[in-house]
Amino acid sequence: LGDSEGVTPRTNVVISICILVTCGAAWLATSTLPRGLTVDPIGPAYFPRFIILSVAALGAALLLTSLRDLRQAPSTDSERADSEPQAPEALKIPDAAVHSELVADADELPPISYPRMLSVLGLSIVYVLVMTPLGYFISTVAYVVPLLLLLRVRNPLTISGCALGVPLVLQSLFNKLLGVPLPGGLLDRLQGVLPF
Amino acid sequence: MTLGVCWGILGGALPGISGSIAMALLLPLTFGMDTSVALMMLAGVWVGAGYGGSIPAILIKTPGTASAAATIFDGYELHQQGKTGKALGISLVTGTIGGLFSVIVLVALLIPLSRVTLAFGPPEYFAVALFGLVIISSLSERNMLKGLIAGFFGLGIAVVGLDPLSGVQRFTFERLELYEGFELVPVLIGLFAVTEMLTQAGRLYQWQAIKTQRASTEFPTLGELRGVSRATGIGAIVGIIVGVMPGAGQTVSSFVAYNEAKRWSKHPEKFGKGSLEGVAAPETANNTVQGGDLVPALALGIPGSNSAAIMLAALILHGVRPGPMLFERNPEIVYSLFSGLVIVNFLMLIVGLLILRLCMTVVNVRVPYLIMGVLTLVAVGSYAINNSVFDPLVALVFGAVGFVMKKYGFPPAATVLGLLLGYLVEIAMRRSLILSDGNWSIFFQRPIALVFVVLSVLTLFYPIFLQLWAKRKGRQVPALPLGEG
Repeated sequence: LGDSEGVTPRTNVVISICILVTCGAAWLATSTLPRGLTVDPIGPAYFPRFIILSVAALGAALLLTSLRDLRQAPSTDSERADSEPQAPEALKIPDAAVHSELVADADELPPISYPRMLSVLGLSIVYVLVMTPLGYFISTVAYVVPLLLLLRVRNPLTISGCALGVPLVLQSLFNKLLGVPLPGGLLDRLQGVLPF
Repeated sequence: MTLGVCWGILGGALPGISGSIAMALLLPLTFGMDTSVALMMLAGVWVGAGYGGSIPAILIKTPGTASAAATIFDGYELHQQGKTGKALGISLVTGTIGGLFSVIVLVALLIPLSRVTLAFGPPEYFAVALFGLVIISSLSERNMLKGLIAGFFGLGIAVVGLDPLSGVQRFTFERLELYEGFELVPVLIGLFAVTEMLTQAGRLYQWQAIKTQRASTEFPTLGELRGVSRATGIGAIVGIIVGVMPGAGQTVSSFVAYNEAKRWSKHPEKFGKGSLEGVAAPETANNTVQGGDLVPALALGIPGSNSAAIMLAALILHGVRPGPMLFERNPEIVYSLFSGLVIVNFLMLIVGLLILRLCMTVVNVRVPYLIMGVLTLVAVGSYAINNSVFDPLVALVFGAVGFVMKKYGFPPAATVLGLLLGYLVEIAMRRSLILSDGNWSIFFQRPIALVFVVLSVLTLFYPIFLQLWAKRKGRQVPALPLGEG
């Protein structure tokens, strides 16, 4: 029952409490579900409740094991390192900076910048939300420029090339090749107004 | 198929894109295609990524996919000795041999197994699906409890929408888009591709660039092939055994194959110093796994790896339900997949030879452009499913959910499995309980169901026994990097 790197027993306690609270809320939500068919002796709420109970039991087990680990937690870093489960020698990957959660050598990778990660996520959400009113082409141009700036690309030529090239290629691929119409938005509305 | 193989090799060669991400990104483009063509294209990506991952492993000591990590030991050494072409050639040829062998085993195992599974009723389905969920969730991360919670979370996502038996709305919040439940593709893309891109955006880690421009693939001579035949055979056997076991996957198979090939080699001292056998064994194994992975996926509807999960998702997208009835209802799809796998393996041999220069260029792509390309493709690909912005939003939200899950040790792959199995588990469970008038003993009265229930319980308690045993012996319980594929 070892754990992934960097997750302390204290964090696990908080996580398991969150899981138990969520299960409680989900259980309450199932009580509003109607009964359903008469031939079905268990009803539509039964399976969700089976899942909720299973997750709650697992969450409780996680809480108990985390509390046990918290009590037994080694006080010094060296003791902590000794107590961590180690992969067998044959399965260790030397010098491999693999971008996979399963084999990444965390020591070689730089730490995650959460503000940048959240900015990328937020920007992507805004992009999707404005895709219909602005249209695919305009919204993608407006998305790619700040995205590349956020990702520390500074060359104006590359940025403008990507901002125009990516939406053009994808729009052609989806509209022409795959026959999937992408939202026209502003450009569609301007078509009747503009002289070209 | 050729496009699939090219995409797979290029995706596999990019250290930020795994085979499953390459497949997930292509999934929305398969909507308008015939089911068999879509499956063959995805099979091409899967097979291609198996080889593609070894290119940066050999050239820059950075595996394109996790399963190619074992190829570094001798592949990079061979590159440093000036034998790059030989290492790439051995990787390509033994990978093809492994892939072809896996198709033979797939046919040999799947046809009889599907006859057996025809006798399954709802209780057996439920027990088998539960076993699949338990074994994959428990194998996929270090903390088994978190793996199981992630798996059940996937079942929970599958519950959203109209109840399959009564039509009652469940957790739809009156949103029309949720009446049919969450679309599979955006959730898959979110948990696989968006999660990885958010991680990379946060990290902005740039792998080493390929400096050499003169590398070319050299086919091995007959003598060299004879020299690696033992390692290839070991890789093939390990690949099949690991592949059939749900949850283990390509990464484990390649490391186990490397170890076993070294143990049984006439020249174990050459391993790690540029041995061709050291490239042949892991490369054969990680391409052989694919056939093994498809056995439980097609026969039982339980995917053994992320890539097999995407193959199943493709089937579901095209209205085909995987599992025991697949052979009865859609034999043409299964047989075209068999023949497609043979063809894509031969195609890989040709495309792999021709595409090397392009791969070297692609590997040198900087991370910001990769992130931008993938995120714009995610947005447009998810939008194309229903011509609605709801689906790309779902992909982004699940990308964030996957990121949080990964950060705190919950494997997103187990959630995907839960989502895929959700419908099967619920229908089987409720039909069984209707048959037994709500009595759970039905799962213990039928022998096959009982066997799988017992296996599930044993799987659940195995780590506790292992830990107790290790404590008594004063040993540490080893943690394995499992589940990739």
